Amino acid sequence: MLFNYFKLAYRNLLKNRFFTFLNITGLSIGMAATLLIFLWVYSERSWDKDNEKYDRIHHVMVNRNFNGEINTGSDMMFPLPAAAMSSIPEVEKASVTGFPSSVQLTVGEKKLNRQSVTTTPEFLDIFTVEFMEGEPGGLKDPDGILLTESTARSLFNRINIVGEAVKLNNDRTVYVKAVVKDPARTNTVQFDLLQSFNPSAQWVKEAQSDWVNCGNRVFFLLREGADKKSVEAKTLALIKEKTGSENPTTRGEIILHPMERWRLYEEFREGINTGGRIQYVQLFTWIAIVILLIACVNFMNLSTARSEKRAKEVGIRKTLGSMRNQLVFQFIAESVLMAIASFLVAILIVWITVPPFSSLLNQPIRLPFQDPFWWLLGGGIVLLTGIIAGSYPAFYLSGFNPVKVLKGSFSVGKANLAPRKVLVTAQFTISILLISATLLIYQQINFVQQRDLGYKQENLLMVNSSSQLDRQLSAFKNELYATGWVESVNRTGNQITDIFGYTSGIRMSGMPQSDNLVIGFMFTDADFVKTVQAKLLDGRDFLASDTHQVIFNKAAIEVMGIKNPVGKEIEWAGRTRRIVGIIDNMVINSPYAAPDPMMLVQEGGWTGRINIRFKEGIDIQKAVAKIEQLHNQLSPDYLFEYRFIDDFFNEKFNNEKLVGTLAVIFSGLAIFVCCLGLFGLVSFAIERRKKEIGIRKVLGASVQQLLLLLSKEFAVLIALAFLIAIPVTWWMMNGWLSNYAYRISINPFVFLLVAAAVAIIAWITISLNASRTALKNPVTSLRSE
Amino acid sequence: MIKISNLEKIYRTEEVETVALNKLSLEVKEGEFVAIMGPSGCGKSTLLNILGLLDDPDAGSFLFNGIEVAGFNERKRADLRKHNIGFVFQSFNLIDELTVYENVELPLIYTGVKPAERKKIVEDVLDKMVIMHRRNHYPQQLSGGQQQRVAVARAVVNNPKLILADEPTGNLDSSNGNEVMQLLTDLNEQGTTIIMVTHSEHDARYSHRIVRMLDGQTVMENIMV
Repeated sequence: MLFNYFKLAYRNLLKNRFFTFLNITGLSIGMAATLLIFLWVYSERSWDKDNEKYDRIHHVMVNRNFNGEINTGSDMMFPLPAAAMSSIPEVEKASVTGFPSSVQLTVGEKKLNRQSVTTTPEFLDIFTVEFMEGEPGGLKDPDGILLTESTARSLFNRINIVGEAVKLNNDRTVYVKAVVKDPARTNTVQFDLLQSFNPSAQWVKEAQSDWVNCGNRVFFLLREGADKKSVEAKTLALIKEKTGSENPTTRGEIILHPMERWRLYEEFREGINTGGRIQYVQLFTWIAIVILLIACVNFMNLSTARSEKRAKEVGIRKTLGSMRNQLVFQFIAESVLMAIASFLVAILIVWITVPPFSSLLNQPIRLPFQDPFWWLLGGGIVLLTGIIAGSYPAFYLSGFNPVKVLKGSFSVGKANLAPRKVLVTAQFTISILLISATLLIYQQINFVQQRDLGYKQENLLMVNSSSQLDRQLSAFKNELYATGWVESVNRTGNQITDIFGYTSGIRMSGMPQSDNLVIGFMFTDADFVKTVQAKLLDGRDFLASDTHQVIFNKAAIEVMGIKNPVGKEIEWAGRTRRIVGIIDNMVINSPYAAPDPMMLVQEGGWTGRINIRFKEGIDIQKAVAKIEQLHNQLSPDYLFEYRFIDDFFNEKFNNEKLVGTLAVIFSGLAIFVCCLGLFGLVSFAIERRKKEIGIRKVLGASVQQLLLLLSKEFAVLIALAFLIAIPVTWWMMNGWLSNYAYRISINPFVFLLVAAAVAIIAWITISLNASRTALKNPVTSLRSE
Repeated sequence: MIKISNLEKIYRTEEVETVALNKLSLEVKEGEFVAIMGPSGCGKSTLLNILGLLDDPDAGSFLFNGIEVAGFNERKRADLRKHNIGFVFQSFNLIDELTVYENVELPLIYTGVKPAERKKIVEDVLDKMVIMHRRNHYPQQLSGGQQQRVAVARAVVNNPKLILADEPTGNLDSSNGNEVMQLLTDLNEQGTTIIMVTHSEHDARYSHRIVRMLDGQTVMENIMV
């Protein structure tokens, strides 16, 4: 029986090529979109799973409480891990681990810059690190380092290098203790080399007993079955006990962020782990499912539109004794067969599109053909698609009365068209929603990209400095100015696109300290305002002769509540500092957020970045080459590393740009699949009304009048779809935009634009089809009757 | 075999009420060949549909082999139908997507006959109907007469006790029509009861008895000799 069903289904699909083509195209696009998104989700969900102790590893984080305002931090105090291991029994291992930083590795003439992570030996007990050469004990030696395979090969062209010497930052000589496999790209904790904290370094000595300042990550490996909540409470109690005094950390709470949430739930708001990347993953999972559903709806609509053709068959089968459920099964078998064919096409589409999709997402997406789960998922999608797409037609078609059908008095009543109309409206509602949302996402990205940042990013080059270059700084500056291409030069502690340091230790001279005042700070030197072209509101720029002076931005002055600040003094980091200037707010960390209060500090004794402002209209390539040459003369031991500030800043839009691109692709697919369906429906409507069209033509109807006649019923549905889609889009996108402090307000013009675009696309779809019939000689259609 | 009494069927739309069968009573014995005649709209086809268990009467009794079937649900009707009744239609009603062989096989599938057995039965019937050489053709590749032979083959393949024929020669030329009528006569002679709706006096003469209908009632019966 089953074989019979499939045989008949196959013949039916083959016979109705147009119908089959429309459906397979739609369904395979829907399935390919779903599969691609599922592959992405699969890849996202596989992050960090290479770690054997995946479910026991936690990142210790803190909700700092600044008098009610909760700030979640990923940095903790240095002595916490050792103390936790000895006093909290559930903590099996704990490690203090620095944030990754770029170090220069030198072996003979070979120099490389790589990401280093400084940590304690327990790191290797917590994370799974595969050793290729050497032993795990290497991190116990303060002069020992572990290199990844790729770093080892780049430096030595081989990996049997245990015992070899490497110079770190042209400063310390360390020895390779082991070579380990590169961390998988799907690991959150990435490194090119691991080194241990140098116990003889002054800061390490001080940090051993510093329970207030935080600057490193802390990871816990909990024992099997440990209660996370209890460990959090015990950790907070431990910190309180060791700190002695109250501060935002002791007033806050400790969070053990489990490894399984690192990748997808990385965002904290008001101290609550609200989500993060998972929102995008979920969003696009829904979009993919919606596209597949749109394709299923096409199948339903086209199948029921063809019902008059199938009615006779249903009548005969029923007369010959077929039960209704047998017919339902037969029609579902047909749609499952269609789904299988579409799945095969979808696999081909996926296979072709995975490489560009991977590069778009900037992460490796693998086709897990060897994984039985994948095939199970594929089978599930096929079956589900077949059943969803086939169910409505199956019940609809199998419900025909054989007497009416065989007597020829069968016709599709108006009531029977209603579900199809609802489905078409739903399809277009979703498409309009997706297109409008895409437009709004793009508007928001554009809006933010054109935001006045409070400084000028173009023509601003950042060069990494070094101790060697710092010593030659004036010579370097002079040479730069001598080129005639450089307008201004200045140094900052870090790139000016990010604030790394926050302090709650600023107080006005003579006033008590308030640790609720959190202000970002950045070290810099002379000509900051001139170089970055910030807007000076009051006072002056830093001068070369300044020592320990500060400049605040407007937001900082507002939160501190100082009147006429220029000339006043503050106390910070054990010194009295004079405020010499006030600048307008600079958008630094997040282009979407309100600017942070910021303090610029003129201070010596650090190595950071050199900002170089080029004059307008110069040959940038030539200038960079010249700067490299100067750098290499003055700082021969260090690699020349540079970035343009605007490029650097633009990386902050990566997430939104990705969402925008994905939205364009998927909403494009949705409307395409919708139009396929519309095209099919119009064809069947024309087929049904062939005689009517012929008569109207004979009676003198023009081609335009006929087009209008045929477009009318669909135009009404699309208009209805608009009325539904607009408020829904408005509501959804307002929700999305509320994530951003700096955002557009929704302009109704967007909807008009989408309305026009969709109307045109739909009209072209209808006309392409209808004009053939409208232009046909009416005699043909009337004769065939 | 069939005994109907006071059968009523009324079709209602919002505005019109049409009485298709008006307290109609009829008896057909096993092995009979009955022709039903009458003008268009007299209720012939409605009667045939009810006899074929495709439609439900609104009132009255319908005994099929002594069993009251008037109140049967869809499932019971389908079950009774597929085991006992074969249909022949004016417009043949073959499934275009199935070959001759598959069309004839279809009733056997629904009655759950095993594939090997099906093959034998279908081939036998196709042989008898002299259509074996066309077994792999599709209906649209056959002439009208050939199509109706296939339809008759399909009607008899389950060895039904009753064949209902609705103007079986209506779409055929006279020679093909006669051929089909001969087939039905042969089947009747082998014991199959046949009820045939027809407009053709010529065809009606093949039957044992002509029942004439008007306005949903039988008005006259002619016994053929």
